[in-house]
Amino acid sequence: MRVEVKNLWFGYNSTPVLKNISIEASPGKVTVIIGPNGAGKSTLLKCIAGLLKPSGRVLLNGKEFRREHISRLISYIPQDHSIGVVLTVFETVLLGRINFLSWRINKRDLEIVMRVLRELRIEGLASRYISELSGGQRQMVFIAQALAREPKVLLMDEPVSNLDIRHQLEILNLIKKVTKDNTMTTILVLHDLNLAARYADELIVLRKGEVYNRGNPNSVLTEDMIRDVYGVHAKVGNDGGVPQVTPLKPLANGERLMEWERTEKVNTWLQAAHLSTLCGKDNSRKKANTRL
Amino acid sequence: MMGREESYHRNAVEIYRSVSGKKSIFLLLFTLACLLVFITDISMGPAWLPIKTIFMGVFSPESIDKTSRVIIWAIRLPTAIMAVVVGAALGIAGVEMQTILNNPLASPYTLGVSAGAGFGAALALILGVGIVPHEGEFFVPVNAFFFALLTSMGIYLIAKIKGATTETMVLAGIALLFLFHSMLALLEYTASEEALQAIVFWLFGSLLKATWRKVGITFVVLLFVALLLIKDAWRLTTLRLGDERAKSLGVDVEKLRLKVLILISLLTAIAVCFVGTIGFVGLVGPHMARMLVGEDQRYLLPMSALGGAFILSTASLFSKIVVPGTIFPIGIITSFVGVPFFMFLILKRRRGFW
Amino acid sequence: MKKLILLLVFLLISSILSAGCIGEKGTMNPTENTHPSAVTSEKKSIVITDLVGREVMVKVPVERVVLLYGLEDYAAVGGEDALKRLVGINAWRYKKYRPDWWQYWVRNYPEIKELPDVGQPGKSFKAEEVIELKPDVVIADASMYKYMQEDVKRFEKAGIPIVFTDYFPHSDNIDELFEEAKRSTMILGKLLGKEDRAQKLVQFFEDQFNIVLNRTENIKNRPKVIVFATWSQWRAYGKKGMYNFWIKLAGGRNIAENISGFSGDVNPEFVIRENPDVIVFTCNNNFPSGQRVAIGYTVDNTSTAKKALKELINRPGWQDLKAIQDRRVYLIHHGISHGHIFEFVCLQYIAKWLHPELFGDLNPEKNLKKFYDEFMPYPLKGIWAVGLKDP
Ligand SMILES: Nc1ncnc2c1ncn2[C@@H]1O[C@H](COP(=O)(O)OP(=O)(O)OP(=O)(O)O)[C@@H](O)[C@H]1O
Ligand SMILES: [Mg+2]
Repeated sequence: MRVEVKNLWFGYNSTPVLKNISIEASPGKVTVIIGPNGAGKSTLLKCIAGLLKPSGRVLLNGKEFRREHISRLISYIPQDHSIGVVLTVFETVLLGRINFLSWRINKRDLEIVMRVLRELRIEGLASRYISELSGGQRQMVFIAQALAREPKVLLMDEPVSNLDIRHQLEILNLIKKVTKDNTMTTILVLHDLNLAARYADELIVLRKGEVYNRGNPNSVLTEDMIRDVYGVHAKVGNDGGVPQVTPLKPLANGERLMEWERTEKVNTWLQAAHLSTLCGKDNSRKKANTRL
Repeated sequence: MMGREESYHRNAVEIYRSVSGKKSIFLLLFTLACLLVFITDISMGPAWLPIKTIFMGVFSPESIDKTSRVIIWAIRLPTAIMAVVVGAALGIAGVEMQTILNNPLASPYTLGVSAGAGFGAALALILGVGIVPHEGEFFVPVNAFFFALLTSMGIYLIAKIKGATTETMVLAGIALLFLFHSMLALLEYTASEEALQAIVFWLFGSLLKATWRKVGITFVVLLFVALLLIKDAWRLTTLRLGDERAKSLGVDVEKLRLKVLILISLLTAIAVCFVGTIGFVGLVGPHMARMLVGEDQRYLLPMSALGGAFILSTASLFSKIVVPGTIFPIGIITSFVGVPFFMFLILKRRRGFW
Repeated sequence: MKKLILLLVFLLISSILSAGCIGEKGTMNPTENTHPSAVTSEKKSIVITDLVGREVMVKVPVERVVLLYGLEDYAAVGGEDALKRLVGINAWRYKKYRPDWWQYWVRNYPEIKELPDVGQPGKSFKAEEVIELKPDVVIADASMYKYMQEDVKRFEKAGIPIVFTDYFPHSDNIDELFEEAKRSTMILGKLLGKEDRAQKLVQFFEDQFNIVLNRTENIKNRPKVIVFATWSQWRAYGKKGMYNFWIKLAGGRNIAENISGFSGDVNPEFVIRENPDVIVFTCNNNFPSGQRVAIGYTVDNTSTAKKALKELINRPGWQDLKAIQDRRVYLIHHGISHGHIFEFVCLQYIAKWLHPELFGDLNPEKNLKKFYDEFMPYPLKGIWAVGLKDP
């Protein structure tokens, strides 16, 4: 199911957090969103998941849906996994099937839960309480819950942030496989640029609520981008066709400050001008903005 | 491939059984315990009727003498059943209040329902101002009920306007709680000696006010609310995963909260208006249930009801035998019965809940 | 919308607050109420040991009195003249606890209404106002002592003597009660300079008691009785309740005696099992179904009381009780049962109800009337006790 976001604006209060975002993600592909803390990645996912009400349009296969319907199509895993609820892993994953559950439980639902637990290799945890799991284990449980829903669109906010490297690879491999096999549309938020490079079919860079750039990892993951967006000097090499990022050092304080100041000014000016006139869908504006 | 599916299936069912099997056993055990306490409750009393008379009296009332019949049918049964029904009502109201407010300290009275009820009762007892002009069995209860619901509606309105988040509801609840408490204090200040005693007594709670009609009304409301809540069992379970997760699972969190708020307000108001504010049951029953069966509401809900019924029924029994011939205040007994049991569970438990 | 709600809440609170304040205004400037004081040289200092065991020095006779309790006993000793010496009164207690008495007092002596209301200790007491009134003495009841520890110290500092009297029965030991009533009455007599009258009153009190006690002292046949409060269905007076003492002295057995405190709830089936001979309801015009006036100063016929009684005895299984079958069910005004010099009348009523054959000649109402005629500044009115059998 094709996800399109068109001219999306959102703010928690009067300051906009997402500014005129237009992106798209295709079925069978893993789309990865990267960007610094506070860039608006989680906010964007929540808007797509229908948890927030932005202005602009979120289209699934070209159509707008209401929240109730969206939840049947989209699985969303929030970033925060701290939770203390007296439910077993099995029950928690079973909740992913909520749309099909009644007082008695269907064999099919039990099977799906079991299959997902197997695929993620956490069937050993099945009768443990989730409040008693480690952070990474809990993250796996919620991934399992999301997969158990057999969604058309999978949105995951930093799904592997708490996992060890082996699990990171395993989970992302699995996600990639499921995405291909079920022609699911998967959008991930990742912080690890190398993982992003490795698993993304399409990479979207968010910076201060705007799309800085998007495209395939090779074209997007550049030293310039990392300097502009993250404020870090990095070396980008190549490992068998996949870009490989080696961070070197943060930009000197002065450099960085100036950069921030400049953007703040631009932002306020843009706001004052009501932005709308300036907000084209072109990429040139973003560049102009950063090079002012 | 077939074989793999097969083994998924067997395993899935096994695991599911192992997760929920124990819970069914707990449910069964508690049902039996409740039944046992209930039978003991109707067997005990200063009139020392023999067990045989009681059984005959219950199943063929015509076969025993008139006095015993009156004792069984007009005194013991209504009180004992009221204890079970009100206990269950408070248990359910408590667990759902904890669920929608996502707060372990919540009880049926958290959002000021009891304060509203108390104020309504006080208006009737002190000023003789009633919603129904009729002076009789329902004069005070109807007032209490009305004000209990009024409180809930206040919270409902505020939550509706400001969004039904737990914070909004708790804050609104606390505000109303204080408002009603001070209005009650004001009434008490102007009250006569006996009216004051009456309101204190009313607030304390007592099963002595039970009659068949009240038992019937409470039971019907309990059944109605429980059925509606059971329909939402899965959605209620997801609430405890946090608003965001619940929403992304397709649950209309705010709508569900408001709906449940109305249902449990109704339930609490009806229980409180007939027997007064019996504390502790609605707090401990749910915790007990949660420790035993976890948060799958299909088990948690009936288990909380059983827990509440068990505590109140035991309390009713004790209130009769502490000082023979008298009725010890049930509010005090519930704490005496509930606290040690609760402590035991806390000491025995292994996991962190909340 | 929010503002509207806030406004409504505010209006609600303020309207209730203002409603609560009605009746607080209209107090006269206390100095205007001063009496042309008697010749001061006649005054002498005496030491009084009051009923909480304090030794208090007072200049008597007193001219300015603040009265926190017992206007009846005070008037019985001092007469109409004593009423004129009041400069402050605990009207709060009267209005809340004995509203019908207050009405009657005010009807007979409107100036009482104009006295500053100094409030009820533990509730609304205004110590400053008492001190400002510069009374020669403050008279309070022993039950108020525990709420007044601080106030007493302040009064002592300000040189205002306060004495505590006590007419409450604390056990069924009649000698103690006689002693208590005698000391209280004599204190009032000394303060007001009416010792002769006080002496007479003490004698009257003891005589009235003895009418009953002489005949019940060694009584063997003790009928079973229970006394219920009307404000809550199963609230009965237990071991420490005054009715328990009266019942014992009147030659009966209180079936609710195993309630260890003052009062408590009895198990309904216990009443059925015990099958009492007599059932008494004590009433302050408060019923579970709301307030209505059935008994007291303002009542001139028994119909409301009898209707109330019929409602009160309409309980499961009661039709077959001995007390109900014999129609030995009574309603008595709570205010005459304890705490005042005329409490003898409660004992007399109970004795007559328990032993009608023994007390055929006893007429408690007449004795109460006699007390009023001899000692009170206004005549007795109203109905104070009603039986189901009464016309
Ligand atoms: N509930 C909220 N209310 C107000 N502002 C918020 C809220 N949630 C996020 N923000 C702000 O919106 C901006 C974007 O937040 P968002 O959570 O989308 O960032 P992110 O890109 O996911 O960052 P991270 O990498 O740290 O998770 C931040 O400036 C944040 O402070
Ligand atoms: Mg984030």
